[in-house]
Amino acid sequence: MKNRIYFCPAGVEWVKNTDGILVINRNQSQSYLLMGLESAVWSWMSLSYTYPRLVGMLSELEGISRQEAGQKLKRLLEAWRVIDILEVRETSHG
Amino acid sequence: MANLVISARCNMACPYCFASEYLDGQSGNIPGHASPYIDLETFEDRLDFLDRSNIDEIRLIGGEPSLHPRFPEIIQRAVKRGKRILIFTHGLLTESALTSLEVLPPERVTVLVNMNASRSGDEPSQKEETHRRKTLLRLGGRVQLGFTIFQPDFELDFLIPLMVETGCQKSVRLGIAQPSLNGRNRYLHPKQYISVGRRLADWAERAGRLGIWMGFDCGFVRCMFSESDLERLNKAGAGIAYRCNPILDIDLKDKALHCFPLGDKFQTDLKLTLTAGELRAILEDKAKPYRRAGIYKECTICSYKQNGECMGGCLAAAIRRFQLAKININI
Repeated sequence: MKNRIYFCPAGVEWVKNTDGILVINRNQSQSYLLMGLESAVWSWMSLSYTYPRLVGMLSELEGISRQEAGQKLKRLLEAWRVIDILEVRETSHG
Repeated sequence: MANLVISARCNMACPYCFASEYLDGQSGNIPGHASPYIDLETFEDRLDFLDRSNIDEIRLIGGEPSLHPRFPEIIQRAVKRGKRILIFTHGLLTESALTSLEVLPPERVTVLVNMNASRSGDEPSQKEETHRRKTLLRLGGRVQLGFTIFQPDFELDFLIPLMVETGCQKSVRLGIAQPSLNGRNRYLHPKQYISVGRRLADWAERAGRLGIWMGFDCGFVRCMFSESDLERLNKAGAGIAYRCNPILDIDLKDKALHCFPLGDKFQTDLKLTLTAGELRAILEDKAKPYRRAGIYKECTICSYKQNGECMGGCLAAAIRRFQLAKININI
């Protein structure tokens, strides 16, 4: 079984503003504004919450099942990977 | 425009100095550089650079520029190239430095004297004040006074009699002490800006009645002034600006810096083929993603920032609000 670990590459910085969270990839001179749900999830992830806990909180916040919340979270992580504010590596898990 | 570092050394210990971290001004040591002073050959290269960039004004900074052992010769070389000279100094000038400047007509040189530079790191001593006063008397209208605000209860009244007695320009250039990226220097916290704004308006009103002009350096923000404060500043004819568009700093190691507070973060090589404008564009591009933020979390929704009236304060102070992302999630 394989695990996917999402992590921030070097050079990613962020700040919380009134309108949301501004995330910067310094190496690519790009900035992204995360608002609403995205902003909440980024904040939780920055607090080192585990994946099951994130799914639970997202499920509560959105009023959706854990399964739907899990899918939503994975879509979000993939979207952030595509814009290079996250990277992913796969590890084998025994 | 471009500021040229000609001396990394400084013999003051201003608590708010944001250049000392980059230059190690007390020792004058620069890693990878033999001397804390620019050599004359390199200085000629810098003059070529200014010519190539169509810049008529040479702006000498440090450290303390007047500590350069060949300061008079540097001034002479700049004059020979037809440059107008602007010097940023603590004002405790040696006799040879004073002599080299007082022979120049006032329209060819401005000596911007930082009036609250001190060796003790606190208030200037009596001896320092006396020395500075002598500089003002000798250089008269060539001098513009400068003051760096690093605490909310600052006092500017002492500048007024000095202007009257010494014949220096009746204008003050005010700067807000900004943090270096690690924040080791003393600086004015954005939470203190509003009380500073009120104090400035009070002073501008008094000074304005005496024909004294007050101008703002970079880092001021629109929201530090109430409408009535702003009205008083305008009435006094103050040079109000809410900008953060620092002038290129060229250091002794052939690096062009965005500014001293951000020197380690945004710098580029001083390539001989590029002009100051092109170097500035490279550095602005590096800093661009951060420009969306300001010194307050509210800056991103502020109409003054959105319409370009205010840039959201010093970029170094804004960048200090950022944190490195440390996300690691195992699915």
